[in-house]
Amino acid sequence: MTVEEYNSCVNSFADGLYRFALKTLNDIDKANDVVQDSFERLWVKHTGVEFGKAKSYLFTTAYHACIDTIRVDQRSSSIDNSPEIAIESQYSDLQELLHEAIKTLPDIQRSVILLRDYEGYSYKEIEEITGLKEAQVKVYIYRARLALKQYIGTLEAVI
Amino acid sequence: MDINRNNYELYLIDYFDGILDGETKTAVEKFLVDNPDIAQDAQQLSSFKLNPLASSYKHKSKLLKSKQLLVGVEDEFDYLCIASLEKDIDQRDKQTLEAAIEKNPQRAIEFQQFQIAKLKADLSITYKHKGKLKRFTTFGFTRRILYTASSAAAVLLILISLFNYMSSLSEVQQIRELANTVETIPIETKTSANSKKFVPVVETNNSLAEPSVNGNSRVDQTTSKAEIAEVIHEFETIENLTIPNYIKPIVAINIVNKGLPNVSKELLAFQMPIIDNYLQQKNPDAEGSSRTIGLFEIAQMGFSKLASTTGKNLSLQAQKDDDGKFKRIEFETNLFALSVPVNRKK
Repeated sequence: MTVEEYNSCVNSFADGLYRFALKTLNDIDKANDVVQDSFERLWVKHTGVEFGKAKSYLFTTAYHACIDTIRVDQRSSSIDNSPEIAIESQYSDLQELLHEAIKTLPDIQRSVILLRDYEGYSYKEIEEITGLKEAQVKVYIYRARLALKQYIGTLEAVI
Repeated sequence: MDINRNNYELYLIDYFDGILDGETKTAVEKFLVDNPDIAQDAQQLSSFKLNPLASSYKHKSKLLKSKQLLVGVEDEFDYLCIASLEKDIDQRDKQTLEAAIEKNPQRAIEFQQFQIAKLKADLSITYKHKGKLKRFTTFGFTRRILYTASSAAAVLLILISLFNYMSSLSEVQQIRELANTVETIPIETKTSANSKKFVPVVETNNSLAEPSVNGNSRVDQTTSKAEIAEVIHEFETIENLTIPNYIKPIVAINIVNKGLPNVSKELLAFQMPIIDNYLQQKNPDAEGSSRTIGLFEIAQMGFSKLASTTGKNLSLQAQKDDDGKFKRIEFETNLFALSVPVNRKK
């Protein structure tokens, strides 16, 4: 991959990578770190990574960086700060509500559903990015969709 | 095949299970004919053979997995909704789903909830630091290459300066030898035309310094070693060596200007943390940092800090002889290594 192609990757994929990291980690600074780290790793390997595989490489790196960050946070945090469904909140639209809802998902489910819906990756591509088996990917997506649907149902019932 | 009363049991079990080959089976049967008592016991043994029961497990239906349970689904309708959302549904399941929605309005609502629960990327969220991620080239070289080349050039420059300094040590050695040999020197005085003041011009009787006569009068003076020591007391010392001013003043001044004798005082006055750390590493038992630090050690500190900062292998070492004088300087990196002898002029 040439320098020009690398810079093209920055223009094309940095936003999506940042959104994925931000929604997975719910932390702007950590999301920025993940994006920088992912592109730094891509640059180090840019001579050995094909341009067509760059996006997959970036998201694979970002996914594992996010999981590592989450595990470190979980180890360092002694307080149970698991997200709760904030049914008191007011949401302007459905997508805003859904973005709140994905915070309630388990980490891997959240990552997998983001890759599926945000980036439109297939089961097979998610399998390559996450290292999960395709059947596991399907299960996580199924459970995530079920949880999101139940979240919406809960709110509608309350409202 | 030797079957006897000591080993017949091994063969008898297999005989009744019917797994013996023809030759062994014949040998067993011959043995039983020859030993009727054992044949009688064996006949009784065969009558105790257990037969499997004809019963079956009655709850198989609870263990069977339906298609949707392959992905951990307990509600078939949920599975069909999600399969439809994922566009991973066959025609038969699609018809089942549509029939369920048509029959039950509540199912239709649930199906709609699944449809709207699909996430969409918020395109207003963008990464604002793309410029920092991009790589630029100058004359075909990237910043990283230029940075590396600049670093290598800086390292080489430091090394060259260091080696030049080490080479100049030979001049110090030369002066040290002269200081021990000269005892008597002639001193000429020069009197200007407009002034009565005497301006002494220092020269030596050594062949290294040519005597010059630029005055109207000449005074020969014999100077003892003790007197010389008093004269040169005001000059700086290098490693306990007194540099006399009567040999070649310009040479002595040049050496003093290299700053070697005063390195420790000047540096310690700054209380640089890097020096304290370095001294602590070199001698953990030492208290404080009041120790003379040479230029070579300063260079070592610099490389040590650079190595720890960059994570690269940078090493500057020196070999010394029995007198503690530098014999060889070695510099090593991941890319190259240098080993340069320190040549001292005799």
